[in-house]
Amino acid sequence: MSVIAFDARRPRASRVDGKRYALLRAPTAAPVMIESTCRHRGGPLDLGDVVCAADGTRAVLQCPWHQRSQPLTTLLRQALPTVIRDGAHGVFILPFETGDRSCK
Amino acid sequence: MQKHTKPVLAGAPKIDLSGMDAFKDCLLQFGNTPLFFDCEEWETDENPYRRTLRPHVFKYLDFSTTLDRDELLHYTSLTANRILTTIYELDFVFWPRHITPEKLADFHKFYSPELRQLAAVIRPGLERFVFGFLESAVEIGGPWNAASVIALFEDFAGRAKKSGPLPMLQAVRNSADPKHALKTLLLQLAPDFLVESSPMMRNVIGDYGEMQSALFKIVIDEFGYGVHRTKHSTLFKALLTSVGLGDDAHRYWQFYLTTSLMLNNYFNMISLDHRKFFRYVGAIFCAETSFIPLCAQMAALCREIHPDADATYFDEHAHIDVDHSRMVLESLVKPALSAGGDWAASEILRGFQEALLLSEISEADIIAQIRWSDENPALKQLHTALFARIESGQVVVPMQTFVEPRGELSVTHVHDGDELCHVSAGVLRFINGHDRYERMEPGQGIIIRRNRLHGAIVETDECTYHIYSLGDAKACLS
Repeated sequence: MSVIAFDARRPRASRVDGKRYALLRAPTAAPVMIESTCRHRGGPLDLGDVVCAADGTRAVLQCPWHQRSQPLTTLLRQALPTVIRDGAHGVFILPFETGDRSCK
Repeated sequence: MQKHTKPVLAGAPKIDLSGMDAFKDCLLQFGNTPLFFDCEEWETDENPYRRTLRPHVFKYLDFSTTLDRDELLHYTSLTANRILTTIYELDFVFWPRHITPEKLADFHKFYSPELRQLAAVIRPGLERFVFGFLESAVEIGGPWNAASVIALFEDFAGRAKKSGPLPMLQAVRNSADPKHALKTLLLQLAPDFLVESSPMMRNVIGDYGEMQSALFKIVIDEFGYGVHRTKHSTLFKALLTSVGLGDDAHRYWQFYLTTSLMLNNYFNMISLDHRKFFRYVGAIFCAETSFIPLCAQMAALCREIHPDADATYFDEHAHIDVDHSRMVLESLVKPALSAGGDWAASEILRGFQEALLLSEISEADIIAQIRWSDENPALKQLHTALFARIESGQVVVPMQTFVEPRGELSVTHVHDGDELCHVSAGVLRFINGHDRYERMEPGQGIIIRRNRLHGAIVETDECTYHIYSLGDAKACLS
């Protein structure tokens, strides 16, 4: 496992070992780090918007490239363990070893 | 297994002890104890039962909400934390070195059932008021489990070993008066170190398996294996006397900063409420691990600034806390994670983060107080320019006038905004730390920064002074 520190006050995109991670702030849950690459064509989810799904039943995160969306509930289930202290000092855990210990 | 299938006392009246009416009545009655009234000395001479709380102000304070993050240094917070420390320590045995009939009467009053009953009613409300902000200040998300918590803690321990110069100690080193700054810092550690591990003892009693014995092993170290001269609080007392300070408990009560009390109160709070035991496990890992670099650097700092300082206390901790950090991780954190599952992981993580945050807040407060003490001569000079603006009508702010007799002591306190003190007759000694002050004659005064702990005493037969509520001194000067 790898412990990655980040500044939660900074814009959402973070990069570890070349991979993008984003802080997802869902309305009803604590903020969590998620993989920020859209599974469709690799769009930057950190630049996406949280919107109401077309059927009006749930909140989704919409990728800015092709407007593909993923339910927040799914993203929250896949989120990484994250803790933020005092609105600034963030840490998340990657399930593998990495040489890159802080976000860029 | 016993089962209760219906209420034992159906229809019994419900007594609401958590309502604000009961809280207020009990708070006022608690404050109406002479032990807590204002005093005439800056130091409390060998009487651990006397702790001034400025109870005459209680009726004006609102403890019904929770403090916001930016209100932690406010006066209401100082008061709540002074009361909480007093309440928690009703459980601890204090006995002064020299007893007198007056002190014996105080002893009986301090430990009286009436005071304990009142304390039991007001404590939960004060804890909610002081510590409620932590719930949102520590945000935990995602699937934390035993493995991820252990990874985080091992990473924290690794970083602690490589820690560079700590900012709080640098502030002491860089102070205009490092000896005084060092004393200021030591005084902030006294609420914890003079009764060291007493909160921890609350968790040693009971029956919870091997974790209990693991914690007890740490307690044994803290208490010096029953040899009084090696008890950690004894070592700390030796340090205090070696730098010219008194070593009796709470002699310097008036000089404890709000957040020094708050950090200490936190450990009492999570130790007293056993629902928070797993938070305690995380918090004590934070404390034992953070202490390794802190104590190593403190030992060096004490000797550097005060060559005669007996820094054995910090030497001992720099050494033994390497073991304690490992022991807590292996024999408390890991078993607690196994015993409590993912719920325990979240609780342990929360305790760790809350303790870390309160330590950071306390360190920032100590640094600010040290710098402000140094800044006082300049703030006295700045009074002239600001008072001229008030006199000319350029700055219009509320003002209160006080006429006080010789020896009238204004117990240390803080203001929520910047203030200007102006003396128009007599002489006022303005206290900005233990044994540190500015003397102000007629026409002189000082800007008092918000949240900074200070007091005053009249040096002439009478003194007339005025307090102007500036809010923001910088804005008034620009």
